[in-house]
Amino acid sequence: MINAVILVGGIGFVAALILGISAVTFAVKMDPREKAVLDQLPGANCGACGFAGCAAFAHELTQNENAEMACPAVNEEALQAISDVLCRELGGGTPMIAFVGCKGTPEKSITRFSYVGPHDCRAAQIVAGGAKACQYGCLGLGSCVDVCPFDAIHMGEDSLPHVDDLKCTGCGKCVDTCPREIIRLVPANANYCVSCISRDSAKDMKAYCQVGCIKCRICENTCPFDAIVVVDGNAAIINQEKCRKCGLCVSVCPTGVIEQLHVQAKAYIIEEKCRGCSICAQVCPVDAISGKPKEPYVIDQGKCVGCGLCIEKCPADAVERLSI
Amino acid sequence: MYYVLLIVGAALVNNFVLSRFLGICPFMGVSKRIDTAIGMSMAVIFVMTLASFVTWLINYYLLTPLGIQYLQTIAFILVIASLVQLVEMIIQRVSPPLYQALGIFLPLITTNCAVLGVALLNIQLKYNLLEACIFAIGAALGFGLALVVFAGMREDFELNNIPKAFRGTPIALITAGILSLAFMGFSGLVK
Repeated sequence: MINAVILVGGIGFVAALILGISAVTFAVKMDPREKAVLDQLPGANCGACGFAGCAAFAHELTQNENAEMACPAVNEEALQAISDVLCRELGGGTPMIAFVGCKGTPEKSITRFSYVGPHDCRAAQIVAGGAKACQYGCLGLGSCVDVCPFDAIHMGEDSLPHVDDLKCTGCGKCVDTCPREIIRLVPANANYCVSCISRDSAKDMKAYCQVGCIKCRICENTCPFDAIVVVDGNAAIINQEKCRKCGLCVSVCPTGVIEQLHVQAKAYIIEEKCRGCSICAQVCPVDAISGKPKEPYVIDQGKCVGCGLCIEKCPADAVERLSI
Repeated sequence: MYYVLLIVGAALVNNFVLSRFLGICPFMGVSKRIDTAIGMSMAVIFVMTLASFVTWLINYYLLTPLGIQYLQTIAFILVIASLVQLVEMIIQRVSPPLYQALGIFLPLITTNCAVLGVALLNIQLKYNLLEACIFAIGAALGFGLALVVFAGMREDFELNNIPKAFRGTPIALITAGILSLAFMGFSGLVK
């Protein structure tokens, strides 16, 4: 009995002693900043930064004075915290989110054959170039869903992937995975995107898809800011830097292929501040503002699309957005 | 020849995972990708051999003279766990590349039942020190073989259209059962 107690206690004591001593002797010096940086990184180990994981990237950030912030998933708060820890400013760049450029549900975009192989878009693409008649359309097998480290993409009832913009961090894994390059990164504050990347002509497309871009150029002619263009047979492309989010393109598109990602807050005029200069009425692309000179102007909420041009141009700061 | 048979016997005939059903946890947990399975196997070979060596000494030079062999389990766990911790610390300091390769797997298997199992079997089967170490290497090779084979099969599942109810662990357990049946075919190879 006493032997047992002494022996097990003794082994435990000796082991603890050895471990304690070696913990000090063999201690690997770790930069305390590295831990602080690691705490701020997302911790999904997605590898979008080009390193083996968040820990490896934190190591690089602390050890290399010139390392740039390569993590696309880090938010502004964390970026600021990391900058504070490292005592140097890290450029963040515009936050991006993934956008799926296809609206071709099985009902609206026909398939050429029934595919029964591995449940993976990349495998499906190899079999005679994919089952979808449109060679630019989403195959709908959800490889992007599988690869997302943030659980931000889900297959909808319509057999198309949907991006949860709150969860998406713009790491771009789905972009690399999609064999048809349908998913692309757009600025997180982008409001309108064209959900089609087809280069086929309208005539060809009519045979297999009801929701593709038919290159009619109506949006290009309508856009007051020259932000949306149809060039070289490509589907319409929105230049997000020029886009003022007026939404006119959505209302004129005959196939409804332009998607609205967020609802823009509409504008209203503060009566006390308005001097009645009529500048807002002149710049409004949708004629939503009316009024008489020298009297407060009024914005028709039914017409306003929230582009914000009037807010920018008003000399008296009398126009503001409604809070949603 | 005897030692070769010892290895073959431990690796194939009495495979630790598929015949003795020890170490099922890492077998299920770390078998999703072949490269992690290989890393885990390396760590198991390392830890099992080391643990067999030390526990054999503990048993015959501490427990037997004092007549308290009934404390084998608890004493072995204690020694193996602290030994692996120590080795992990030393590797981290001495050889960072090796630590990168084995590091995360080492703490995972410190108190694994396959490691403890091989230590106890060494005593039960009355092996001498050399035999115990060779038996441990064989057992670890068998564990690694089962793990890597299983990981290869599970990687292929990714591409198969498995009924929803069977996806993930259920199909893995069924496959493990069939793989175990296949390994039963080795029985009788070594007496």
